[in-house]
Amino acid sequence: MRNPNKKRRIVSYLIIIISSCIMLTPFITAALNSLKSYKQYTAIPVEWIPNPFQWQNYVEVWKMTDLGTYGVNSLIVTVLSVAGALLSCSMVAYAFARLEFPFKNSLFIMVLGTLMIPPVVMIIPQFIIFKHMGFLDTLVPLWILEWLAQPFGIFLMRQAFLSIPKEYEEAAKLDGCSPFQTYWRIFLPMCKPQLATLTIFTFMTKWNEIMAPVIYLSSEEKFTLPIGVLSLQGAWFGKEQYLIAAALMTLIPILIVFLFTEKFFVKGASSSGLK
Amino acid sequence: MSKVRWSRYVLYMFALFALVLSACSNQTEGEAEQDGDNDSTSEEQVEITLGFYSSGSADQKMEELINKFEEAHPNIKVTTQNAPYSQFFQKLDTQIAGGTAPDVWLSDGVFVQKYAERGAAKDLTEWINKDLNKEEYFGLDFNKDSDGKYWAVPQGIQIGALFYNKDMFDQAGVDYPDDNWTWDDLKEAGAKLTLDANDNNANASSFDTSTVKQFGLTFFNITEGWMPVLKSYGGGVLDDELKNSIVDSPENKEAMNWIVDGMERGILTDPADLQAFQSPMSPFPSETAAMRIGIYARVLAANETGVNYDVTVLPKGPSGERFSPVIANSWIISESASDAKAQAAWEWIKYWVTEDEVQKEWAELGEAVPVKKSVANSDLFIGSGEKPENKQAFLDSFDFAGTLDVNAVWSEWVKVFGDNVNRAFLGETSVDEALEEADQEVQKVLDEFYNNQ
Amino acid sequence: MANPSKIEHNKPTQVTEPKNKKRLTHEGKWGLIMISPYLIHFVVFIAFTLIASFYFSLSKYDMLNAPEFIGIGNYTKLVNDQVFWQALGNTVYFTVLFVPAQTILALILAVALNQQLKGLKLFRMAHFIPVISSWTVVLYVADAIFNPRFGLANTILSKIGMSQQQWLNDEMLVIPVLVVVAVWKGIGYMMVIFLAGLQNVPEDLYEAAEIEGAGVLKKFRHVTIPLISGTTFLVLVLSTITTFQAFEQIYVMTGNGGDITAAGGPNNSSMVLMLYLFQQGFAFLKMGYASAIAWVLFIILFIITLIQVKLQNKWVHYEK
Repeated sequence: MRNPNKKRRIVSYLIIIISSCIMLTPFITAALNSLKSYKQYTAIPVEWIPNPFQWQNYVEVWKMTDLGTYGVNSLIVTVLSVAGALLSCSMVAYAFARLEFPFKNSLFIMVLGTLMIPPVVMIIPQFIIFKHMGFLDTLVPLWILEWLAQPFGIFLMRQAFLSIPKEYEEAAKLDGCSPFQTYWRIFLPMCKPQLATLTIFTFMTKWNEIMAPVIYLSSEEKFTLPIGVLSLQGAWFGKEQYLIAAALMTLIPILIVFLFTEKFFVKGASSSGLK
Repeated sequence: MSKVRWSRYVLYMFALFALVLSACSNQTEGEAEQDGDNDSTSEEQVEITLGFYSSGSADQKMEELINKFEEAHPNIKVTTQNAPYSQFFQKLDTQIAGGTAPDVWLSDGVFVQKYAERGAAKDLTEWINKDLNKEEYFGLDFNKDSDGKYWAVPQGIQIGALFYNKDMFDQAGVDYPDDNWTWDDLKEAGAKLTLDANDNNANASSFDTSTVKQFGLTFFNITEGWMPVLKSYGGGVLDDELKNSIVDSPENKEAMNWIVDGMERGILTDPADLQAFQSPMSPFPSETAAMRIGIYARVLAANETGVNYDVTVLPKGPSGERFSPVIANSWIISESASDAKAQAAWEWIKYWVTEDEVQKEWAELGEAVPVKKSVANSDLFIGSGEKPENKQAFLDSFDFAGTLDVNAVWSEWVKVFGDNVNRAFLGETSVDEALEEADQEVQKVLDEFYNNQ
Repeated sequence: MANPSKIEHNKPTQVTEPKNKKRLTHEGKWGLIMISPYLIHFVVFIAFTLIASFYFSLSKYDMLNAPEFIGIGNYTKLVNDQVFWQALGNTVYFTVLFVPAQTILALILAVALNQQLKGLKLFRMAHFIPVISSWTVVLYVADAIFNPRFGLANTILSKIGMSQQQWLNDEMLVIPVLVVVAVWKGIGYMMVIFLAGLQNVPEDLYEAAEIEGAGVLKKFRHVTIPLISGTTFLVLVLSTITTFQAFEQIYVMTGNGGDITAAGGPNNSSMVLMLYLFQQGFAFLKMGYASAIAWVLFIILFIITLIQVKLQNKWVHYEK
């Protein structure tokens, strides 16, 4: 263990504390806004502190939309997506990073290319594909693509695999491991920080996704959370503060996931004989 | 692991692609009509899909009414599809593109022609002539095109009136607006109601336009902004055919000068002022503006905050002309719906507009003027006891109501027109220049669609 | 075995070398099997999408009716479309401001956070909250700062005697303000990627450097930077691509209450390509034209990424 020098620690603390404040202040403002009455919320000049604190805003939001059912749907989609992304992206990425196979470079360019297609133009063609597969109004279109390796994850994991020394691979080969076994038993456990990053990324995008659920889901009992939140927007209601309350409520599960995966970012937790 | 096993695995994989691919290509043609086009007697079971955009707690009422409809029509089964307003039309357009449009859907009034002129909506003229007595309903004509064809039937009506904050008028000692007001009267009263940080009103010599804390009139975009002013000054944006721009007219200039002058003096909110609010709708309910041009739905937010307000008809122009903007949110039947389904969808529309019970229940939500005149004129609507007291003003406004020059490219010309006049509102360009440029750009948008087909 | 850690674009012929061509090696088979999920993805979903959108780009297509082939009309229209060029310029401007700012700040934060300090968990969490917030929340949050009438920024400006600004309503300032907000929101995530990269820097390298008497800055310059250059490359490529495709933020923050046709103002000064594409396609039903824009955007991004990939050989350091 190094002996951290004092000056460095102080500088680090300063940077982190200042930036944490910058990060959090606006967030606290939003939380306060969610606790105001509409009148106070729209008042000019701003009244920063809710008076009184309208905790019932959260209760109302809970009652107005079926957040429970939507939450379960969101959870199904998100968990399936995360599992799919972790497995498929890491496997594909391993092959790109560590194995030689025909057309590897062209295929990798293809992966990069996929990342660059503007999502808007994919909406109609993909809708038609899923229609013919009979997946309209099911949750399948929302997670299936994650099982087929999304380019972002491939790219992220590939970079992680690239930074692992070659010796591990050679040692595994000597032990008679197939490439798949080498990937599964040796390389994958060494990339926990990146797997955690991918988990959070996938969780976040899927949890907050709006366009695909709106387009693919038609029956209310299949809706996901963001649809529920946006439905509150009903153009004429004069209750915009509910939107913030609802949005904040949907953050809680992601925060839990973050806390859960946090330990993978902590130095040492990912050590796998690297020392 | 033996090599054989794995090469077989690869084979399986490719077989799987092939399977999936063939599944994709097999059905590409004409799948939409799988449910059969055959004529149906009224006894035959019909299933229809109905799309509508969410508006908060109204969704539940919609579902209830649909259930009642199904009870009354045991042979029709309705499946609903809803989505938040801002995404609903993207979903709908994607569904139409993919051949899975709902059989009947609720369209924002300003989008009816977008679907009608592109052939996605069914012509309802015959049915309306046969089944509905036009005298009994508001707004049927708002969905009529220049050939006299009807493309949709109103679900609820939004019509504009002048909202005013009674407390602010009392405080400033200004008489409440009445139906004799002209726009100049409004500005005169507005000047006394506009206050800066030091409580000087807009007539005071020391008035500071940069610290306005209370505006005379909040002014936003087309419906609750420039359109009613332009039209009551005798101007407008499109000609009667809705295919040519009439933007560059002396009437429009006069109206625009009235607006720009009001904004310069701080009486009217300009587009930059509105940025300061959580939403461009909030100045009136938050009591930072004494008046607003508002469609009926705006009563909800005003009631929510408990503003002491009332409404009256919108002011008249210099030559006594009046105009009240109207948006008739309407039911559209899909052109691609089979005959049986279209017939069933028509039953639903008929049920919606003719049944007193439906009309009453919807009116109770208080978000739109009922389509059926008898219900709108009943105590349930005008005498409900909820604010505003003078709901009659909304009904009176039908005498001089007009649509927002709605055609197939409405969103697009509104954008180019709005971009140009906003520059004039912010003092970045002169009224003459703004109108001249808007005229050209609007015409370009119209030509691209109408003269290019 | 060939060095697996680089894609050698200067030698794309590598895979067609005779020994690979004649017979698929054991490793080659495994490679193909392991990338099969992506192959399925490409064949089933991407290939069709590309073909369809390319066909749309050569058609007059309003979504409500079948596309009608018109040749390169959409592309020639694009050349003369001033708003398109303005949108392209805005997109580049946004990216050039955003990517370096976010990368550098995220790296500094990651290094600062990658130490055994007290309360670390809390600090990491703090940086992560904006990342997971929806843009709707960010809109209200940013308003507290940049509201022209009562926002914190103008309050401070007037306190120190400077003139107040219109921020999002000012043609010159709108993009810088959007960039500041985007950095605020995105930095936590990039930081997390950097943190993950820093985990791969072996402790013993620092120890060795310390024994040689290297100071903080020297260690950063000679140990940290080279070892996370791979991650930096990743961050640069990914954030360039995502920034070029930025859409939701600008839609939400300039859209005057969710109106897609109002977004991109004032006066198109914050109109970016994706927003323009979306407006043309979904709000104005010109999906053919939108697809043409998409293809141009795609080609631009492809070229930029290829340049980045080419340049990586010059500065990215992989394990020896």
